[in-house]
Amino acid sequence: MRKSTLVYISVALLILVLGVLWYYGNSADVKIVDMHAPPVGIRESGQLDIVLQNNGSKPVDVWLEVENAFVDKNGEARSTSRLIISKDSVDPWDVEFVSLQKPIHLLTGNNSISVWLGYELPGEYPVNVKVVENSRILDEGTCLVQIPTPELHLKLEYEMESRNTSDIYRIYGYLINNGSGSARDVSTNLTVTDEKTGKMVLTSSGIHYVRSQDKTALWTWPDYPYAIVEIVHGELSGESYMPVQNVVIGSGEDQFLINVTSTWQDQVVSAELLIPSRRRAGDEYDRAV
Amino acid sequence: MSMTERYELFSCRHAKLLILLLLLSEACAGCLGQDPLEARVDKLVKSLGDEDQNVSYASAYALVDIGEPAVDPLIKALKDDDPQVRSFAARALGEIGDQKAADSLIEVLDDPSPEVRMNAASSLGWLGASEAVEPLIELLKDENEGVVFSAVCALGALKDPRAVEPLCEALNSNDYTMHNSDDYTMHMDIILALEEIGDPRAVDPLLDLLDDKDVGSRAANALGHFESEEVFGKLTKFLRSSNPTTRANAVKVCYGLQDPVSIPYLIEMLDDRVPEVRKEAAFALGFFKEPEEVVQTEQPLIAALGDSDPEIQEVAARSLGRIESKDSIPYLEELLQAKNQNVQIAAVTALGNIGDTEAVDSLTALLGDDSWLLRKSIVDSLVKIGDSQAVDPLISSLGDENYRVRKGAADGLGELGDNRAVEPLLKALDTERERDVRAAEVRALGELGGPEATEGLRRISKDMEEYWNVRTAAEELLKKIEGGEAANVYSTS
Repeated sequence: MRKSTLVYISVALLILVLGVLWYYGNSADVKIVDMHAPPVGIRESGQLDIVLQNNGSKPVDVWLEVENAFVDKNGEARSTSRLIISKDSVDPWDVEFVSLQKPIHLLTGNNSISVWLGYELPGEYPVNVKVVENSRILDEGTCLVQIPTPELHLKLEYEMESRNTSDIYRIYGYLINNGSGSARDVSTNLTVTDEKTGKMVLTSSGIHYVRSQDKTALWTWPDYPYAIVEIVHGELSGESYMPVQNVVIGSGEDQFLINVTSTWQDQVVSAELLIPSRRRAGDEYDRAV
Repeated sequence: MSMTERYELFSCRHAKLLILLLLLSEACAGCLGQDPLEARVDKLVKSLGDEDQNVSYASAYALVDIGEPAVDPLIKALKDDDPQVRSFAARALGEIGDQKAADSLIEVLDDPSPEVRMNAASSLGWLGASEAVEPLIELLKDENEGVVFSAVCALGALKDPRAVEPLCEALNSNDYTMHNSDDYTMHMDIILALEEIGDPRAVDPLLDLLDDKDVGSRAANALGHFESEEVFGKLTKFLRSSNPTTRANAVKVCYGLQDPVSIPYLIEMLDDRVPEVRKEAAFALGFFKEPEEVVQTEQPLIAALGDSDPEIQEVAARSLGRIESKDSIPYLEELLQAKNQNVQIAAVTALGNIGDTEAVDSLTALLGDDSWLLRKSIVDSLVKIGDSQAVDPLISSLGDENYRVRKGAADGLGELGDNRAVEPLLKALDTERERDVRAAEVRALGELGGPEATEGLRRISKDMEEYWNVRTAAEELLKKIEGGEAANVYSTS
């Protein structure tokens, strides 16, 4: 290769390098100064709050790329479509919803931005955030988002009323969650077994939702119990007990074991009640009030 | 530089090298200088024509989100070969709301695809493009009903008086006889558009619709939004029509106009032979609340309580409650014994609205009724009357078998602010199972305050087996009480 050719190539490369340096030298100075996500329940919308600091002297448009903001039950990350941005960096409550399809306009100083989050399984998720300007990453950070597990238990109680020749036991139940994560689609099964014969006389199932540190009633209709056991000592009362579906009618010598079992992912909890409990006073099963 | 060197510089070999360098630098400049937003918009515009509707719709939404930077590419897309792209582009331009799209949207009002015409018409309405009025009027003759619907709605949104006559013509057009639901909807939309424009030329065509069983009521509602002097003079003829539908709808117009000049006519209508007309008149009279108006309406409405039709008794009772007629109290108390539950409830509600303590005893006496709806209305009315005599009946209602009644009683006890209710509320919380009722009882304790209530709230705020909203309401109220502030926290379940 001739000397002149080498000179041309060197000059061209030099121009190119200078161009690149000039270009990168003029990039925005934006940093992630804070990222915080309060615990989110499973299949609930949470948000990752991010503070972006624009150290430049004028506003700048940047893109935000977020990974692991939405993860489905197979562990597959989905894209985030929208985020919330503070319209005014002074007032964090003056917010607007912004699409990730367009750049975020950052004012000089601190800017509050929130990204929607959602997860279908409990665990710890590293949410990676990249601040991008013209295909260049200005800053990058990761925040661990906790999706806590619910802690379920069941409680059964009853009240008894004697009417004519029948004892009517009204049974109430609660699904209680002492954990910090909510539980959706909790499958709950009720079985009533005749203690004398060991035969199951009633089964019923339902799906419940209980949020974190809350309880949900198992009964469907306000003011109506979850289940009714009528012990008849003479003639049948003939009461339909509508709209209660879980109704068992027995005679004076009958005793029934009420079992409720709730299942959520790998958690299985249950509670039992013996009706009537008089022949087994103080029975360990009997947790009724 | 020698001649040889100069020659070599422009020789084929050097030229190739230079072109290569130029291309390289172009490519680098292209990469570095590419505007990602522009590239994204182009990609999204192309995706508007995607066969997968999820993709095409998502692309349209994304372009709307992008807003102003997407306007020019979308205007260009109005000329795309693919009608789906043109249609989505027309829609997105309207949703973005940039005025500069108006001319291009007008141009596609004669697009061969009805979807494009439809979306362009709707978008022009959203843009408020008054220059589109004439082309939109032309569109009222379109062969496609969807396009005509969009044109009607757009003309209504533009509120331009030029559209009144064409819309009235469309209203009377034989093409829109009331034979199917589309025609019905079209009539409704035209009436709505005429109402939005509010031009007096629409009064006569709308009055002519009052005899229509399907759209007469909607026309009456529209006429009620016009100025009374433009309508009432012409309305009297319709109030005296032999057609009961027309008379009932004419009364509805009076209700909308709220012109006191209509009161004597409405009073006359209370004696109409058709119950529907009497009912509308009794209802409308309840909205004339000025003292000089009440003087005219009170006795005729009291007389209407004796109507043979329970529906009219009900409406008259409610109207008397609305005008707070004290003279009607004994008649309303009499109506508490009516066989019809709706009449009873209307009387209870009216007594609550009138707010006179005279009615407390007769209301309390009915708290043992079998109907929870009636008991709930009584509780609400007792709270509205706000007399201390209501405290004991409300305390009793904390043990009602229906949760709505218990909740109403708890809320009411908090509102009445009588400390006699603290102990019964705490006792009710020992056995109450329903979430909303417990929350109401806790709120009432917060309203009442005092050491006993505070202790109860503290206990509930620490109970991890309590409903979340009840526990947190107790926490908030405690904070307020302990902070020395008046407790007034309402949590949602």
